Amino acid sequence: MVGGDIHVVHTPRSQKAGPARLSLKDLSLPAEGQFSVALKSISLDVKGGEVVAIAGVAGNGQSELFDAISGERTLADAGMLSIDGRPQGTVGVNARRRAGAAFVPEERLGHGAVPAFRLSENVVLTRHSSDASLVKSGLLQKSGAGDVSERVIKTYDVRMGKVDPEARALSGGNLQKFVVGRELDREPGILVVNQPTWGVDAGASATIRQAIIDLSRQGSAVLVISQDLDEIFEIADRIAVISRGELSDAHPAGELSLQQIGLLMAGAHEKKEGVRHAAVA
Amino acid sequence: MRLLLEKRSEHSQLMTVISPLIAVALTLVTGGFMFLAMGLNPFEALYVYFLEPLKFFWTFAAEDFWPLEQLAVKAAPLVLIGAGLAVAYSANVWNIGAEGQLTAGAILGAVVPVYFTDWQSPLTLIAMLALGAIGGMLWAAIPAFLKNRFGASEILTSLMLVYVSQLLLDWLVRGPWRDPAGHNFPQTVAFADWQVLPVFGESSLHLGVLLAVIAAAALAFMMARTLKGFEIKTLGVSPRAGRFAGFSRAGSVWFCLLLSGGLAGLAGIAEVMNTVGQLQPKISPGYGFTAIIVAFLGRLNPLGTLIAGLALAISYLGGEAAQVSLGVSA
Repeated sequence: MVGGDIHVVHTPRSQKAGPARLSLKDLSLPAEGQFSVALKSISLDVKGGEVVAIAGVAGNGQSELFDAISGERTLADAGMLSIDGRPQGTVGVNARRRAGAAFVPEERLGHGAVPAFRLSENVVLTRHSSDASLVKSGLLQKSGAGDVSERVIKTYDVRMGKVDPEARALSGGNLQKFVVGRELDREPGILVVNQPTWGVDAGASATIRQAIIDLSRQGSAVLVISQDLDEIFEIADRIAVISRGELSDAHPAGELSLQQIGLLMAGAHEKKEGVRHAAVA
Repeated sequence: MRLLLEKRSEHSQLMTVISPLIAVALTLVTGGFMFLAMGLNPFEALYVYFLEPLKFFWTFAAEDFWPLEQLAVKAAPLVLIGAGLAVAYSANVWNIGAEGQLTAGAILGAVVPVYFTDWQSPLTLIAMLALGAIGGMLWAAIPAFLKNRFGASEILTSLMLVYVSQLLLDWLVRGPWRDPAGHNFPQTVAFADWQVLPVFGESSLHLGVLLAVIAAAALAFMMARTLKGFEIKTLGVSPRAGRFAGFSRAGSVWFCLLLSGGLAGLAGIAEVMNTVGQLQPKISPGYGFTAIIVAFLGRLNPLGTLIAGLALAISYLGGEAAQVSLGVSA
């Protein structure tokens, strides 16, 4: 099924984590519509060299948090989000990319990639402003995009039927490898991934998780939003939990039990009428 | 046997080219039956309609060249407007009111001959063309603003503004702008010298034809090769991915409406600076609406609108010929 051996994800212990590269400070964002979740005063530091995971039941503000961090929705105050110490809350997604951040959304088709575009065109989608070899004075450089696409396909073992196919012609796992690989190829200082291996076969999952860990061990800060607790325990150094738009403190992965995560998922950390419930752990 | 329709996993290059040809072929068959129902010989009727304007290609007779020039002159506004619409529709911006922007462009451009009748210099020509484009842009800016500010559908607002601009034109030519020496006809002064488009040699081919070809080529280049074209296509097929790419939806609404409106305005002023020669209550046989068909028949590709514009222009010319030689009502 997976067309090769599935290798075991190797997680070298994180060396001493560096300074915070991605900082969220009292990040709040109103709900965008009836079915959206408001983010309430979220604070989190992700340091260079570590993987922080955000667990939670679907629909508790994960996609809103992703949009707020990526800059698809900008924040009211620049200081709510800092990249490498510089406030970036009010700038858009491309300015944050130029500051060294990379983002992989949950939906592959229609958000992370345009279904009807070829893979080389989908390279341009997220890298047109941060990669000088793709766009020169407003003109697309097709050879530059083709080179990046080739490199990603080779490095992350993306399997496909023909040369430079449209994104929708790829299987879920192969497209996910491409979408994650497209960002990893930039060697970003900060990587934010929502559901890195959602609906992806075991072989592709292992490749993606290993690549995420390898990136963090090179000194990048990695934030993973996931509903898959097995995945979280496999790759995370610290774990925070989101429920109803509120984020718990991040605890070292080794100190959290499944029961404690379950309590946090149920909202044990939420502030209710000014009273803080008994802290977990 | 059960028939299953299954979506292709990828676009078919072949079908992209063939499907408009199939559409044209089916149109011919349907048209043939309609002529038959009217008691005419369908083959003769279709010949008069679609082939007679192109007779030059097999007779090479000098007198048959004239219909070809007419074809280009009729196709010019269709291509000019259609190419702009093709870009707008690629971004899912549905400008249906090109006819109104055409009218607005003609009105604003005509300010020069109406109020500065004696000003004659090459600058007159440029000023009129520029004002024409600006007039179309201003008219298209209204639906753009309403769309971005209030979420109003540009389909409705741009369409309704067509009738506003046509009534405005009607009022102007019957009222304040009526030619005092015009025997009370509802028309402005006749444009002269630098107020009309220069023609190439002895032909009836005017500057507007050249502008249409340039516009189609420039927009085709923009769509295929520039980041702006990439942005427009992305926002059209996948708005969420467009936002992820950092492209602004509101920005593309402005860009597409101003672009298509400006080109429609240019087509409008070019039309009154040549074929019509002055403002009248009616200045266009519906080019702005026909251009919608041109944009789609050209597969939303600006270069495709060159061919589609010629195809639709044939139906205009053929329709006139059919009235004369077949005695049918158009």
